Amino acid sequence: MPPQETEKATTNFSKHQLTVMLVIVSTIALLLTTVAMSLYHSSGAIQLDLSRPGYSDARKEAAKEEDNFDGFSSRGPIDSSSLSEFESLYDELQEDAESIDAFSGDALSDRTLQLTTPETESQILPQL
Amino acid sequence: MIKRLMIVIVLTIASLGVVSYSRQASAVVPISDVTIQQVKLRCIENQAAINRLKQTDAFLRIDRGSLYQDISGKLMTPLNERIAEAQLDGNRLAGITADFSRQYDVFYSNYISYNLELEDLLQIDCKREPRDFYNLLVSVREKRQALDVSNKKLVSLVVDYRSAFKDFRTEFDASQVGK
Repeated sequence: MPPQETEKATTNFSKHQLTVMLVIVSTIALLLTTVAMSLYHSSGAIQLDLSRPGYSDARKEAAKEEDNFDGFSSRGPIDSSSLSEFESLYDELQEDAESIDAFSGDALSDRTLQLTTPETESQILPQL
Repeated sequence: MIKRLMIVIVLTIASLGVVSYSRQASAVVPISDVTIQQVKLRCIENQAAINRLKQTDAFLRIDRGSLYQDISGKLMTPLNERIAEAQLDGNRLAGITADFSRQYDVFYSNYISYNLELEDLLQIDCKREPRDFYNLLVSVREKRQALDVSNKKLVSLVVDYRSAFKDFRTEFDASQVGK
């Protein structure tokens, strides 16, 4: 490139330095946001995020529940007293675990969603 | 120069594209015309019911997830550590703890997979696309069943650990007699 043209290009660049910088900065920000969003989606974090719109009820319920459980200390002897303490703590949580039959039932069945009529009940398609 | 730069930027953004998610197409199941009619007829009520289910299940996952983490991290692991420290035989308890941890990962990924499809289901206009809605509904049902199975396995491991603990305690108490 002749020296005159190089000089012209340099002058042009100097004139629009701020614009170029803004464009570059915006592009980098956009790229980083895209990467962050794709990680948010691909990691599954989005599915666990109760702060999203549409999860307000679940958010309120979850906020009510506070985890005050201290648990069993990993330090100390194994004796009758410590084993009884463990037993008592464990039984409490086991009872809680067994008390709710979560995700069971036929909440999405044709019958629950009333997608069958009395006529089709007898010849209903196999339910999953 | 700026024009060229702009073109490069636009092309870069275009090549990155919108993050798309390849979801497996749900299996096509035979659907009767009556069912299609019912899907259309009950569209609004069912969308509302599914939305409520989404909220309930989200809460349940948080609630159960937290409980299982407490059982594993605040009870099983500390006891195993104490047993190991005391140089007693806690292999069975440690084995169940490891199974529990693996099963928790399965439960976690099953929930993500289920919730992803549940949200897709809510995006479908069941009045306009009743077949697509029903096909995906069938797939969501499967996912919820898998979630239920993994949840039940976790509860079953909680019971197994309790049983193993009982055996451990019986042996321990027997070994203490006469000491």
